[in-house]
Amino acid sequence: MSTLYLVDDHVIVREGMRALFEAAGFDVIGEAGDLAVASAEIARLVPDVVLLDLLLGEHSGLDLLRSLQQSKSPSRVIVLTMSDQARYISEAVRLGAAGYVLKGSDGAEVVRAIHDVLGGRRHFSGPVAERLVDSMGSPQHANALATLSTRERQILELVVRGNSSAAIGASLTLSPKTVDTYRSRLMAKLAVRDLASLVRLAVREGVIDSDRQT
Amino acid sequence: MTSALLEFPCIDGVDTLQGLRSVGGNSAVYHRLLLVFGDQHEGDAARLAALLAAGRRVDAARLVHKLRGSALVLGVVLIEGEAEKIERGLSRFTQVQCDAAVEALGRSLAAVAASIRRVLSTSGG
Repeated sequence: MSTLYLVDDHVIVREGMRALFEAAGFDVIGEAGDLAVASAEIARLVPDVVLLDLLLGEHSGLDLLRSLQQSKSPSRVIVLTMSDQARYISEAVRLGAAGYVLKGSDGAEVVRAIHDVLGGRRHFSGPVAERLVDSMGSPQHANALATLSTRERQILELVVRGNSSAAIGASLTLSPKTVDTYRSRLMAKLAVRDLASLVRLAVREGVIDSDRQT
Repeated sequence: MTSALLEFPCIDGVDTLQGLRSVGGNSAVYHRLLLVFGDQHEGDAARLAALLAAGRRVDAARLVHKLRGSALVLGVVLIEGEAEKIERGLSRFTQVQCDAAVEALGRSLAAVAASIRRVLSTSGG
């Protein structure tokens, strides 16, 4: 029986997924709501497939993907998230995700995705595949975005949503000056000189939508 | 799965077909998770209002995102729609728009939670 591990900070979501996967004949050998526990247990249990949410409270599931890639974990990862932004999709693919499925998809599709990756294939749900193809049109900035650290990406998102350095500092437990330093550094990496250009780039590359946030 | 769908009671604001499909047709689990949803999230609008009043927009966004995720998986479409509207608008709504959206969410959460409790407490799970 194939083994699964669930990473999601919504207990209700984890319980729902567990019921779905057990009904489909999989063995759910563990679950976690935070990255530290997930990372340690995945290394110990070596599940066949990890179902991973991207937005885990203050942390990003992309960090776990990166760490699994670095440790050459044999577990295959399917991202299961509400985030359909190009930036998340392309970053997840770059970090080795074998699949990317949107929450709210029919349970049968999620099960299909697991079967696909167990069979050595990849699985991207329809809207995800479209976003992925669209994002291939602007590789230069996408590559630049990929050079940002997790903290820089976090601050980029908050800056382009109009948060002040003080507000960002308060929510991330950083001083406003440190936030300013991060902001200067990420703007240098992205080769933009002002906030308006940063916002345009963020919208164009799918860091934020023009009319919505993550 | 088909019999579970046919037997599961209708609840206002909830797409039980979508929700049951999300949990593999397990009506006992679905029944329990809906009750947990009602209990855990009924106060989310008040919590959201408090976070926004304190200027903690990042925490507010997290709370709405979490509410939306649970609602999406369980097919609580009324709440999923309201939460999505707030999530989309959080960075651009005026204070008045924001207050109105949060109030609407509060009314919907109270109605859905009451509906879940009323229907499921008599259906026996």
